[in-house]
Amino acid sequence: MTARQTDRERLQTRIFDFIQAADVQADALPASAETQFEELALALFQYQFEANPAYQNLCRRRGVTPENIARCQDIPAVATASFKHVDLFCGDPAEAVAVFHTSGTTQSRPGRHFFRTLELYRAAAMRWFRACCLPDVERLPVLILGPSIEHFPNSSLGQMFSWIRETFGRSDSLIAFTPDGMAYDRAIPWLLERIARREPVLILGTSLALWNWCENEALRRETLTLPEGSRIIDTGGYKGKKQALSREAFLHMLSETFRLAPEWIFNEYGMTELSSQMYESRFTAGRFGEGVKVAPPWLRIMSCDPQTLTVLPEGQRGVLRFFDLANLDSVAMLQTEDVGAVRGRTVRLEGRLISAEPRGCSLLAEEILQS
Amino acid sequence: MNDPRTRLAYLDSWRDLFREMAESQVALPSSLIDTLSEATGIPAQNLRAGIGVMCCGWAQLRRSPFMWNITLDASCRVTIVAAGNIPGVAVAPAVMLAAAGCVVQVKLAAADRWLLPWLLEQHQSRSPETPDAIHAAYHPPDSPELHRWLTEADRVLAFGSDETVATLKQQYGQKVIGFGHKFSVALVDASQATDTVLRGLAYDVLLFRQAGCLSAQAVFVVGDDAPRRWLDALSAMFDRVLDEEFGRPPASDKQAMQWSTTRDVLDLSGAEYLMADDRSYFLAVQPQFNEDLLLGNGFVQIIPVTDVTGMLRQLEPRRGQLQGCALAMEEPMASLAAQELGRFGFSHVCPPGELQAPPLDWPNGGALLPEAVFQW
Repeated sequence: MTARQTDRERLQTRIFDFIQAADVQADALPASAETQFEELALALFQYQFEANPAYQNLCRRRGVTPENIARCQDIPAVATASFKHVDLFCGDPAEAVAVFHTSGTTQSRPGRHFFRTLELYRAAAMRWFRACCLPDVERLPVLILGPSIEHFPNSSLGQMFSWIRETFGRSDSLIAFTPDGMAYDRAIPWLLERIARREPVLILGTSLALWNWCENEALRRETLTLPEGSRIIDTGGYKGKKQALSREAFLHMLSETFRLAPEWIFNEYGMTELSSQMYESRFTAGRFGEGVKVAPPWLRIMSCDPQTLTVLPEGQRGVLRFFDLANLDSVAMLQTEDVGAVRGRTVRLEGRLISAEPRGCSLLAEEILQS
Repeated sequence: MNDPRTRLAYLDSWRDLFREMAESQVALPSSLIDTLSEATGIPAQNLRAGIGVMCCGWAQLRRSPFMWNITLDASCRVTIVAAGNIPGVAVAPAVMLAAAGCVVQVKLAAADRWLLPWLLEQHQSRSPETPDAIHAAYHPPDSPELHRWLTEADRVLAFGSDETVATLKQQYGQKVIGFGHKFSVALVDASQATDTVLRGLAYDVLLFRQAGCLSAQAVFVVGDDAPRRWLDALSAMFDRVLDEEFGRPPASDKQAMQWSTTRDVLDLSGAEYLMADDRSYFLAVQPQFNEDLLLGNGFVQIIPVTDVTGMLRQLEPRRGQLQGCALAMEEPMASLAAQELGRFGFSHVCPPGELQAPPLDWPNGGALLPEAVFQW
C-alpha cells in the first residue's frame, strides 16, 4: 500500500467515525465537533489537492494550497457541471468500484461521479435517512417507484433506494420500476394486500413517477388508504412535465391519491455529485422549521453571490455551495446553480439558475413560442 | 410588381434607404433604439452599431440572376416567423420576397417589434408610388391571427431553433422552410494580427452580444505556435471597442454562473483563458474546436490550426450548422481559402468586421431565398 493509500484509509476511517458519532438530533454541532469538522475538512482538502491533479490545477490558479488555507469555507469549489467534462477522481478512474451518472439530455453528456469505495456514501446516506425519515420504526415494507441499483447500475438514486430497501425494508419489499417502465400491475396488488393487513408501508419514488401515478385514471379508481405510520418519500422535482405545480399542490394530489396526511410525505434533496442528502420531513420540521431541507452534520451548506461567488451571510438568497465530508474520492466542495437561503444546516430552496443553451441564429423553442 | 423594371425600382429604393442609414444620413430614432435595447438586453450603442453594419451589407445588392430567371407567382403568400435574438432578422428575406412578387407577412418577435415597421414606414414615405407588399405585426403565439397567417400562407419561413422549426413543420406541414441553429467562425493567418483585423474580429464577436448566426464563436489561427498572443491582443481590442463604442452590458446571474462553470472546467484542464472582470467577454485557447463552448455573450475559443483544411476537419461534425467565416489572409491564400470555405458550406465569407453585413440577397443557410421558396 502506498503512503497516499494509507493516508486515504486513515482519512476514510476518521470521516466514517465522525459520521457515526455525529449527534444527528442536535440543532448545531457542539464546539468540539465543529473543530473536528474543520480539521477533517482541511485534511480532506489536502488529500484531494494531492491526489487529484485536475483539482490541484484549479486550486493553484485560485492561489489556494494546503499550506495557505485556514478554514473550510475557503476551500475552492468546483461547479457540479464540471463532472460532465472532467473525471474528478482521486486516482485512476479504472480503480473505481462504482460510477454514477447524472441525468443528461441527448445534447449533453452526463456527469460522472466515481467512487473508490462505497462505505462512506452508504454510511452517510443511511444514517441521515434513518434520522429524518424513519426514527420511529425499525423496518417497513418498501415499495420502490423509482430507480434501483438492480435495474439502473449508474443511478446514484437507485443505489440509495436499494440501500434503503436492504437496510430498512422488510423482505417482502417490492421494486416496481424497471427499464420497461412502472409495473402498476404488481404495485397495486402489493399495496392493497398491505392495506388489507393494515401494515404501514414506505414508498420511495421520484416526484415524476408519483405524479404519473396520481394522474393515471385507472389507478385513481383504486381506493387506496395507506395505513397509519406509512410514509412517502419523493425526490427529483418535476423536470420533464410541461405544466408547473407547486409543492403544496403536489402534496395535496399525493395526499388525495394515497389517503395519507401531507405531513407523512417527505422530500429528499440530493444530487449525483454529492454523497450526502438533505430532507424535509415531519421529523425535521419540529426542530428546524417547515419548508426547509435539513443537512446532516457532515455536510456544510453555504449560499453565494452568483456574480462573485463570495459566501453570503446567513439568510441571504444565493447559489448553493456544499462541502460534503463523504465525498472522499472526488471533490468535497461543490458549487451548484440551485438557489436558496441558508440558515445553519437548513436551506430554503428557491429554484435554479439554468445556464444558457448554445446560441446562434436561433432562440430556444420555449422562447420563440412565447415571443 | 410583376415586371422586372418595377421590381428593380423597388429594390433600388430599399437599397438607397439602407445606404443612407449606413452613411448616417438617416438615423434610427433614439426611442426605437432604447426600446429595442430594453427588449433585447443589448446596449443601445451596440445595437446602433450593429444595425449600421447590417445596413452596409443590405446596401450591396448584387442583382442576382434569380430576379430575371424565375417565373413568378404573384399570388404566392409567404409568412415569415422572425426570431428575436438579434434585430432585423426578417428584413432581407421580406424585401427580397416582396421584390419577387410575393405577399409577405412577418410575424415579429416580441423582442423585435419595432425595427421592421419603422423601416417599412421610412420606405413607404420615400416611395409612395410602390405599394409595399410587406405586412409586419406582432401576434402572440397562440393567437388566432397568427394561426390564420400560418394556415393561409403558401410558404412559411421559420427562423428559430431546430425544435421550433420542427414544431412548426409538424403543425403546418412541409410548406415550412426552416432556418435553425447556425453559427460563424473566423480564420486568420498568424501574420494578420493588425489593428484592422483585430478590430474587425471584435465587431464580429461583440455585435449583438454574439447572439446571431453571423456572430463568430471561434477564431482559428493558422501557423501560430503561441496562441496566447492572440488572447492578449484580442482582449486589448475587445476592451477598446467595448469602452469606446459598444458599452459594457451587465452580466446576468445566469451568464455569470455559466462562465464560472466554464472557468472551472478550463482551470481543471489547465487551459489558457482571459475573462473580462465584468464578464463582457471570455477568451479561451483550445487545442481543438470545442462544441461545448458555443456559449455566446462574448465567449470566443481561439484554436491554432496548420491550415484551412485543419479547421474544416475540426468543424466537420457541425458542418450543417456553419454560416459565415471572417477570413484574414494574404492573397492568393485568401482566395483559395474562400473557395474551399464556400465548397464546405459557409454561406458568407468576408473580411473581419463584415460578418454581420451580408448583402440583401445573401443565401442564408446556403440557398437563395426566392429560389428556395419557388422551387419548393
